[in-house]
Amino acid sequence: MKINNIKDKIKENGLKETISSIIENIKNEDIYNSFLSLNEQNAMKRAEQLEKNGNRKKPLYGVPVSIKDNIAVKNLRMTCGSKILKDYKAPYNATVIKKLKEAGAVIIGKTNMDEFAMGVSNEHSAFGPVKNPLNTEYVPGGSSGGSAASVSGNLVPVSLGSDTGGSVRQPAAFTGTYGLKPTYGRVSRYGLTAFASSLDQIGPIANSIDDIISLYRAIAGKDDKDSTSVDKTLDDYNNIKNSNRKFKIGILKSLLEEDTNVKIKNDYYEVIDRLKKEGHEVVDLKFDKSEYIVPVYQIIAPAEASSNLARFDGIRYGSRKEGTKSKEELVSKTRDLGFGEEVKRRCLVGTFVLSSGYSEKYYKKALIARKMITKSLKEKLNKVDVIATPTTPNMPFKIGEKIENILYMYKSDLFTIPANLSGLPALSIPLYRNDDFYTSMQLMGKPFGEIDLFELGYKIERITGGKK
Amino acid sequence: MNEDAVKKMKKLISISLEKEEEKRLMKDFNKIIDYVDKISEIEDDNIDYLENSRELNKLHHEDSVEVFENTEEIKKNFPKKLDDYLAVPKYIGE
Repeated sequence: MKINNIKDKIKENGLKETISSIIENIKNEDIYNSFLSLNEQNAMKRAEQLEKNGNRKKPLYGVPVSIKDNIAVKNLRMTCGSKILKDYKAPYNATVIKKLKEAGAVIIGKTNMDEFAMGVSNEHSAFGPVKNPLNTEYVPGGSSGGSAASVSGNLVPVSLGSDTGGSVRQPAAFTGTYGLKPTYGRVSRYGLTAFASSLDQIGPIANSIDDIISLYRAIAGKDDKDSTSVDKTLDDYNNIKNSNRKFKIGILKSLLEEDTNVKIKNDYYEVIDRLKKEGHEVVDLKFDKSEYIVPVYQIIAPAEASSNLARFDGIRYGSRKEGTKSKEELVSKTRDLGFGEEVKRRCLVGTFVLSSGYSEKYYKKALIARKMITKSLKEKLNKVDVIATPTTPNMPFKIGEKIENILYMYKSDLFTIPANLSGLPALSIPLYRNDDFYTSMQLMGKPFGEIDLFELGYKIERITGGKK
Repeated sequence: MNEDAVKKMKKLISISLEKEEEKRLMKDFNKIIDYVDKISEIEDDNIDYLENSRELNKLHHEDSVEVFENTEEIKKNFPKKLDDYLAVPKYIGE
């Protein structure tokens, strides 16, 4: 399902009817456990209003959007996939929600996710795992697995997720959808529950590049409520779809040598070859810091998470353990009952690497390595327009199959983490369907160079034929 | 990690853990720390790793008061209420 299908439906049946059938369909067909709550009443009210006196020229007029459950939608439940927030209702709208509404969109509901966005398989949700619509025995990826499944399963055309180490792009790859992590600062994080504040960014998931751009344009921009958001005008996207521009594409052959699935490698190199034949220049770049990528991330992300999650103490909101004998007991029992194992694990690791005696050895070294990786990537991007890699080294696995194998899970973010560490934009594009699942490619660009990713993305979409 | 260190960590993260879960988590914890230990071989004193935080003054903005219109919803999220106030348990003799 794409935005254009919705626009046709609105023309044919009217907006109210279209939204009502979308909601009915989710109620009957969401066998993937992708939604945690539906915004039925508000969505219908809004559809009625828009139909009566909405501006039909708005770019997202009447478009139903699903929202990851760590993004605040006023008066709707926001659980972040955690028991500790199972009854929490957001008292305000995140900036991205305000902007989506200004563009005419209809918020349909909130999607399932790994608890506090920690996970790559969506098995760490307190509300049950999400199933992959391409084969329901398999994981949809994570942490924005519900968002990706809602788009891949054609319940909605577009969704918003959040990406800290690959949480938009990896589930996009696993479900055969497109996913964008914008440049750090391009999209306001106001109203996004913080996981690792220096890495987090909200991004769209969709079934085409056209739709990724539509959503991205609606949510991008400076926001006074997020001081890390940046004031930069958006590029003109009108002439990029059929441009003749020849790109200089960097590839990282050595990074693919280790553990990358053969199907992924084959499809990736096939598309790279096709691009070469079309006249684009392909350069192999050396990336000598690659062995630090996952360790750096597994130090910095938990470190920031362990302090961000200190606020969940059961005092002012969230579930609270009753019958305790001291404030300390109240907080520690509340957190024991409210958090799942993955969250506890990351709190432990994060607090440890920041604790006295160890912060020099781990956290400080990770900050140094992060700088090195960033510097190295930016130098490479001075020589090429974009860097292309697969999105993930592995294909989707069965639900429950890898749950004990933490390091396998952590390593599946190998290709996606660098963009978060260095703040760069990155787009995941599905390539070819093999049996049930798609292989995919990631394009990483210069800071605020999203336009390059879209322009080359269109060329790749033409090679693969895109999604029908 | 020895038992004292585990106790200290539990206190720092303010999470009480059941014995079984603690055992499982410590096993994973050691695996993860072994894995990220790769980082300790990095040596480069020329990198200014705190550069970003020195530029924080760029992010300053006027400290102005804005009215938040939906305070009722904030109160509805209180785990316990007494009239219009947030209620917390009474601990005596702490």
